[in-house]
Amino acid sequence: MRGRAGNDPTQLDDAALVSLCIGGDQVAWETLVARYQRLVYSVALRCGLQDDDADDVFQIVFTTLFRRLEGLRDQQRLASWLITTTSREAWRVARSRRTGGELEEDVLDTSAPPPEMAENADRDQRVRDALAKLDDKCRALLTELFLESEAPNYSAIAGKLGMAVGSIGPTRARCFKKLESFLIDAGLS
Amino acid sequence: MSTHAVSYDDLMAFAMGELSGRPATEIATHIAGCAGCAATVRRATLVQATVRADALFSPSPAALAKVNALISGRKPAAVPQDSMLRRMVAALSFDSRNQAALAGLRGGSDAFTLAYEIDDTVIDMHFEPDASGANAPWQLTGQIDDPSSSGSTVTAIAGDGAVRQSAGTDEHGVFLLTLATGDYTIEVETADGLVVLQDIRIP
Repeated sequence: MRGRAGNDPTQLDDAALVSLCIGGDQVAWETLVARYQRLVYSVALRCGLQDDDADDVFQIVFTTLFRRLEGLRDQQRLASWLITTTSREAWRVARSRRTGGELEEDVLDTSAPPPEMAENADRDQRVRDALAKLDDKCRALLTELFLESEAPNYSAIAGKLGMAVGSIGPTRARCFKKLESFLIDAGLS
Repeated sequence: MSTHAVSYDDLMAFAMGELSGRPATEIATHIAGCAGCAATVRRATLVQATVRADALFSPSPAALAKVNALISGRKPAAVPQDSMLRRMVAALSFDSRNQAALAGLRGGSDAFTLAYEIDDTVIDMHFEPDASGANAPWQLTGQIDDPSSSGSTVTAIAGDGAVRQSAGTDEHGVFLLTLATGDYTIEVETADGLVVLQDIRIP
């Protein structure tokens, strides 16, 4: 029987997390939400929604996911289901804002996500998945460096992460090489 | 990479916009003719864009808290027969009566042992007839060799679908059932779903 979410849950695949969620495992559910919260929220924004509506869509999509866990337990990766579901809900909310009310039941579903938007969202999620595979130190360093603008403050970063300033360059290279191997495995050319 | 004109560290610095002037120009020139380095810079730029965008956009803490709280409404399943929980049929991997037959020993209503396997977990069951008489119930002592299995519920279901007996596993994954002659399916609740042991016959 697969391990419970007590073993590092961030390294479990979606199918394993869903299985644990079906059993009521809180840590597994929070891990699943953390894994995909930005995917769902960013797709809602890309569909043109404002923050409040994006928040509503975020809750609707995860509530739908929660209710359909049993039906989704064989999916190895939930990203494409989430992109499709979020896009559909975002479309529905955007339409109801424009018409001022709920949609009629028989309105054609034209909410399939535009291919380019879905591809970009999926690609960004693969980046997040690759970062999640890194050890904490590598992920923290790369995140700090990537967030900085053109002149990163190496001293401040070194202090924050408890590293020697001179080790930042080589560590960055080592960590990014590892990240790059994950990205290549994930099909990012 | 020791004979490569540009170090990985240089590529990182370039991709992150830390270089300017001549060093930047030299690396840009190199990248124009080196597919591998160009790919690395492309990936670094992609990661940077994703990390920066994610830092700007996220659901509100209130929405996140509501979503995280959804799970508290779901209790670990007590399993009715028509549950939608995942059912996993375990495979019979050992029957002591087959071993006895192979050894040329006569079978009978003696004690026997079965072992079922699912994934990398083994469920052993030892069936012992009651010493008092032919129609007395048998004692089934079972053990699930998975440390997380304590507190699981084991249910014996007769051929007509009726639940005959249920028991919980102790801290060693051991359970006890008392069963009359007949055909049974035994179901073990786990965090992953329901493990089903089929075609168990008590003679």
